[in-house]
Amino acid sequence: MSQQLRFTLETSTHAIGHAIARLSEFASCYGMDDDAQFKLDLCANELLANVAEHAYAGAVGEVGLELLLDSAGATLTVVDNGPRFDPFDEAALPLPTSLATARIGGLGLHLVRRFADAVRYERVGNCNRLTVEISGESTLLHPPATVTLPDAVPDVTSAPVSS
Amino acid sequence: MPFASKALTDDLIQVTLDGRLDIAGTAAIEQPFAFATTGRAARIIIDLSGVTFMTSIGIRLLVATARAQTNRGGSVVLAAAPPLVQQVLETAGIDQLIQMVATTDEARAAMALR
Repeated sequence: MSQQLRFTLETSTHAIGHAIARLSEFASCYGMDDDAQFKLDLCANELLANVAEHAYAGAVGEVGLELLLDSAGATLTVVDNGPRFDPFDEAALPLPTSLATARIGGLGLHLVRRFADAVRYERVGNCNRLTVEISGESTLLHPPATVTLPDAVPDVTSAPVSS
Repeated sequence: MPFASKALTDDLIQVTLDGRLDIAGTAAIEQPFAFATTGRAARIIIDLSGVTFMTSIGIRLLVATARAQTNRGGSVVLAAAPPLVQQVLETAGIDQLIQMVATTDEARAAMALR
């Protein structure tokens, strides 16, 4: 059994904040353990920040989020239609060695690489698809009878889907 | 993401952060936090015990504070980070740049030597 949440949002700070809250509430509703929820939260934040910064040359654009939960954990996919950009194709940046020279750019993707169990990039049509997998214990087989999700993200294109 | 600042002595300040240091949480405190922690040379203890979440944006805030204080002749110690927040900071290598200790008491002891 799996549960899926899929919606789109704009890459504004406000919309990203609401989207992150929505993802977290969905994962919590289906019993994802705290450590896995923290990793999912971190990866979602960093991937959305990356899209907001790079996909549309600083302008606000649209991004799709897909979250699949199953008994093994979570699979999160972030989709944008900016120019081809595989952030995982670049060599990992060396960590800063002194305060004077520390640069934080690239650190978010370093955290994604380290906290996710798997990461992958695909170019599908005109879209970049970044996917991360996070393992974690879940009580998906016993979801609550009614799942109430926050209706905070504008332009929601689909409701949760059970499969 | 509220924070509170308390002067323990003339040049020793303890700043307590609470909540999420993500995009929204960091943006909400960035300016007043910088004013409270970098306005003059001081020894700054940043109490992270109430921080529930940390991203690279929050790390940037901490590094900027530590860099500014170091440039002014002051210093920063990070104290009492919860385990997952500590894991984020260590994964980012921040423990190699800014001293991290388990409690605010340890932070005060460390600062007493400076």
